[in-house]
Amino acid sequence: MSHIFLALDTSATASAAIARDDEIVAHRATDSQRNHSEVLAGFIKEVLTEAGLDPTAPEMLDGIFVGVGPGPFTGLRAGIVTAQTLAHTWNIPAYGVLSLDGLAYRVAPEAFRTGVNEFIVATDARRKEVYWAHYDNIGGQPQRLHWPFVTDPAEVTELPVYGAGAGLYPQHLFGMSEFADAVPDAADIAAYGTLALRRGRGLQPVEPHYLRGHDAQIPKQLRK
Amino acid sequence: MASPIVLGIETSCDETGIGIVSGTRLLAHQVASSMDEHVAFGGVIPEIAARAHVTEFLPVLNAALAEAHITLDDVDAIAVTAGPGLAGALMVGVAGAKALAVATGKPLYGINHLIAHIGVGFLDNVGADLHNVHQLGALLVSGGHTEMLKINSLTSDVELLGSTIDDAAGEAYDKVARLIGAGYPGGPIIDKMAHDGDPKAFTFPRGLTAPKNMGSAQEPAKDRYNWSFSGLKTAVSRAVEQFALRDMEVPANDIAASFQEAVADVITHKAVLAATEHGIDHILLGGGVAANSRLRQLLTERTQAAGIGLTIPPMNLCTDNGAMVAALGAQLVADGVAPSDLTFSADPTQAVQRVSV
Repeated sequence: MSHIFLALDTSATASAAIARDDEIVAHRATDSQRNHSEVLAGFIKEVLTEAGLDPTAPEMLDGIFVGVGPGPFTGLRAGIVTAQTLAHTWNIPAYGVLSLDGLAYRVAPEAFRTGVNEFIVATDARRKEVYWAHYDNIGGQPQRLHWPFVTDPAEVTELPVYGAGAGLYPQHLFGMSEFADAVPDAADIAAYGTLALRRGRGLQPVEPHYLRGHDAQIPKQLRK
Repeated sequence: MASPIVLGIETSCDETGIGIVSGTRLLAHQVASSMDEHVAFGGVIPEIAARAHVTEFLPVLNAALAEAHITLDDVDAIAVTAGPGLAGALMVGVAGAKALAVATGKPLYGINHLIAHIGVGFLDNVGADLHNVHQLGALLVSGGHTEMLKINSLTSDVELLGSTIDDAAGEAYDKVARLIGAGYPGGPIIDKMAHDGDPKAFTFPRGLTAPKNMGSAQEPAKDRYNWSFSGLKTAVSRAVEQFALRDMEVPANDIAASFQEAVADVITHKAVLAATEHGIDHILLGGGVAANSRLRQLLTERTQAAGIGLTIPPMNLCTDNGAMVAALGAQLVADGVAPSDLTFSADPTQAVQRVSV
């Protein structure tokens, strides 16, 4: 019996995909990083319909994988609240996937072919910083060695870097040119999520991985 | 549809509100507030508010459905605040509402937060017969808004007569509360302090009331019905400084009372003037500052003197909530207004003329 999942990611751009076992059968993505809450719902309706599922009663759907970041907050929240609400309404489970893990899963086979044993995945964190994580490459599958960080690009561990973070800061990061604009995508989230679910490890709670606090300062008059 | 069941979602500021109505009957009214998390900062921190909406969205939804004794299958339409409000906060509600619309197949209305404050007045339990009013007006006073509106048609034609050109009234309360070290939120605290103070102790300015700002009824100046609270805040700040410089105790209660008098005076004066000059015979008050005792008192006196009716909904319907969004949504459905496209954007600066998107 085949397994069907809906996957979403809004950690950089907005994307939605339907995975049937190991195959992506429908996919939508935008290049923009600023219109998640506009496009996402329409994308979901389209991928479900294209995969032959009724959006109001997708009985064949086994669950939802959603990228939980790290990523710019407002876009990230749109994906997560969408996944939570869909799962609740359809009464199916939702699972979080670290968006960087998804991208690592995409790049690991290529890294393995070129003899890269350890690598970094980095994405744009805005404010002159990058979100990144450090992976071991086990036969073309990523194993995350460290929790994700948000730092100045100069502070990233010196290893080959995959993802849009490298493209943005070539002076600091040893970027892999083929992946210099790569961002996490729902297709990666689906692939990684399916594997993680099968293995019983690697999934995250369905809540935003902010990494940064809010910036608010307590006003002078209120400081004790 | 005579009495459509509409679920309304509100996340424009620090309240996660979900309400359900059947036509003009209120079925559920649930609100979770992140107010406690903003206290230390003396004002709403947008990022804190947005984070709280993500956590509260589903629990509040479930509580509302339980209170109404219905399931999502029973809902005829969904309405959500599209704006105006805090961008990050609005987008949580909009994304959640769109997900509900996709998963249920129900029509979705992205609505105007300010007009929803008026829509709530049409609910049965408010007890106002607004349909028989000749010309309805609305005065909205909150932490984010200070507006005088003329409602020609709730669902299609609302006119902005006047608004604040800087701080909202509630914001001025928060800032003044900070200046006199009174705490947050400023509204209820200053109102309480004002009861023990002398409103005539200080004469604080009434912004935009000089003849050049007012003009005349025949030739109104640009700011005839507009408000400004920044000068008032500065005046309070100077008064506090004068005492501090002399190492004297700041007469906080007198400052609170005099500040409150200035705010209530200028708001009600201009609102009643705008009403009188636009044939408005009934004013609906909305927004969190509707709780302010002096504003209510002075508005009641001045509308009565001008022969204008006044409706003040129960306080928990004046502050931000989902029931008002549902109430406006139900009016839109009843009037046959087309639902919003799924691709609509949250609009942090949505104009009052745009009732639904």
